[in-house]
Amino acid sequence: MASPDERAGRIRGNLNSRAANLASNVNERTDRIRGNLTAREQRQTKGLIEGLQALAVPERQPPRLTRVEPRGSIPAARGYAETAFQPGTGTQGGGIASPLTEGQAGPPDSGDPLPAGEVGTPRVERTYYEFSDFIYSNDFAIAVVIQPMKTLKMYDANGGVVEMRLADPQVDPGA
Amino acid sequence: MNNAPINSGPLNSMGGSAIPSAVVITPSTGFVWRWIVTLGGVDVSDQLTGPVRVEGSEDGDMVATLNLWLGDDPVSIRGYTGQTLALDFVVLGDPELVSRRFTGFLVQPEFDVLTRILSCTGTTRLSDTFEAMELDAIDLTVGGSWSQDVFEETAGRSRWEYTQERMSTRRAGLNADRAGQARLTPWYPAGIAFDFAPGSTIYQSLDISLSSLSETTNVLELEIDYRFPRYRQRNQDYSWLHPGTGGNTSLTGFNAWRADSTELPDIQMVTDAVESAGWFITWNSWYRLPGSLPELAQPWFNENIDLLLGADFVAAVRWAQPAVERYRVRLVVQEALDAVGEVIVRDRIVLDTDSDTDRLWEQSTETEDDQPVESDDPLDQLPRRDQVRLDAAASTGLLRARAQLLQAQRQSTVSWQIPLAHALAVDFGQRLKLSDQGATVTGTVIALSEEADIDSGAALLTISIAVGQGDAAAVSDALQLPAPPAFVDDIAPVIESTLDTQIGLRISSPPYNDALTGFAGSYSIGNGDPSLRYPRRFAVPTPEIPAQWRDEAVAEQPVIIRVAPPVDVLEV
Repeated sequence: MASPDERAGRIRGNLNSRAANLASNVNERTDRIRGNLTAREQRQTKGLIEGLQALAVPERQPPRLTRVEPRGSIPAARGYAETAFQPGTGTQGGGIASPLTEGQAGPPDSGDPLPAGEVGTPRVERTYYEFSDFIYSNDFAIAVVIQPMKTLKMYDANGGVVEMRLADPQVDPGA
Repeated sequence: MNNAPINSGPLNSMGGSAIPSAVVITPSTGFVWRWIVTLGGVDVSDQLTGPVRVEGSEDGDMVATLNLWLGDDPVSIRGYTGQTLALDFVVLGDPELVSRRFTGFLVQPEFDVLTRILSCTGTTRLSDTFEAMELDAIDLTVGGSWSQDVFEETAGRSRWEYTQERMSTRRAGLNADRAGQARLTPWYPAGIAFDFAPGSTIYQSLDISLSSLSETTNVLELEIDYRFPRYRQRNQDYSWLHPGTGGNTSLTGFNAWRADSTELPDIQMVTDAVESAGWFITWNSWYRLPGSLPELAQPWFNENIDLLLGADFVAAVRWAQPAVERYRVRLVVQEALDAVGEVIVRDRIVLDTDSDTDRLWEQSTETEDDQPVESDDPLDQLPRRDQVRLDAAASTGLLRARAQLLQAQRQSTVSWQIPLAHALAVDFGQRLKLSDQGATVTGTVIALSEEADIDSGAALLTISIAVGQGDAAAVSDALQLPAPPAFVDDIAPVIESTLDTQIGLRISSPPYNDALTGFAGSYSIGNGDPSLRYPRRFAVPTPEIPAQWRDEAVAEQPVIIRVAPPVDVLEV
């Protein structure tokens, strides 16, 4: 008595050989058929095969441009720049505020201007021309040295510097 | 014949400029023949049994099938695959005529154990040959046209496929000659090579196969879309002049202003104002406040020469606009269209341009004058419209479309048989004329099938020719793209280029008007309420850039190209 495994193996073997026979029969038959075909039939076969191929191979998708998002307009705009104080003018602009005081509001130490309207202590802040003139008394006993003033620094009520630059009287303006 | 190297002459020339005169094939007598089979360099003719068949078509390999009886002695059948196989057809007589019919490789031997017969199939292995070739060599062999925008990138792809792609742009077939060498044969050779006289062909072997309507394409609509960035710049002129100058931009103007001085804007303010709107200044002519002029009768001291009495400047903004040129090409075989109506096939080619670098342009402020035309500057490296690229893609697409259309117009075939020995020289790429069996036909050889059976003694050649359907009066147009279509912009919104001025801090000054453009400031010496002082500011209005200037722009260019297939005769 053969075991179930053996029996299954035999059946499988039979099936395989029969399948192989069938396959070779089909091959033979197609060969024979192909040999018997006329030119016209061969062409039709070819067309059929091509048709089947076209079905089997998925058709290439036609290429497309990717969609671009609309960018939209750039709206009309208004460029704007504001700078409150113009360089070269006083911190608050608007010219010189009376009164003028010599050297009073000098911010040399603290660097901060005095509060508006506050009057500081006057202080000499002048420069002189180097070459000086002499004025003598009648007997030449007294000689007075005159040094013409060159600059005079005043400060206005806002603490802004007002510098006076005086001309040298020794230089003849007509020369 | 046909032993000249591939592509050595232009198509349709058959290697020579003179049109060969037709050889007339007349009815002939019988003949005695035999095969010489050489397998792996060894003559195995005496083992041959049954029919030998050699088939081939205009496109593709030659295929040979034959059977060898291997005898009763033990043989090793493993070594047959890959052996060279050559078939010679010999017409006996004096002198003996030997004609090489097939040279290739045995690709699939099948051995029948019972009959001890080896069935051999040999081919010319064109795909293997081309797969092993370098791209340059393929280009040289096949010619044609190729563009990466039409096909796919070559890296990592089948070379045989690449070969087919190139072939698809040619009006020629790629096949192997009798010596097994790849070659091109034209669809439309000049002159008739052989004329088959009455009685020369085998009786009742004539077969005519007309093409079906649906495969006879007569209109091919080819859409070519080309997208590229347009780098655009809108310029706007501005002009501002302090009214205190009396319109004079020389020293006179300055003196006029000085007589009743006011605050002034400076260059920084103007620049900041323009840039705060997203624009930038491309050109300027500043009318500056003069520096110190101590020699004047009233000496003038000034260190701030960036202050302006007037300014003329041009501001600009840049953006990239995607633009699409759409070519709608309609290739038409007019006569066929008139006869049977439209049979349409569509094709589409798309060229895109990488827009990742658009912002380089949008953020740039350099003017053209700053840079030499071709430089390494990223701005000059931006992808621009590339006519060469478009032309390459378009010509490839057009050539392919024309070949496709012409191929569709030569689908009708006529075939007949003739004793093999009478037409040994018939080959692909030849134009034949048949004047037998009540038909007059001309056409180009597209298929040859020869079978000689040593058992029956029959040796027959089946010839198939493609018969074109042209019209002698048809006109053929040049195969090229028309001029690119023009992009039309909407009208530009216009703004006033002259900027306003308002000066405050005087009793006579009107209230500050924020809506006014240009400069606002105050008199140096005012007599009005200090709290009504105007801000010192500069305002620049910029015009709108309409959406139509920025969104993808599309321009279409239709064109009709007429294709005229050559004329053949088909009378029955």
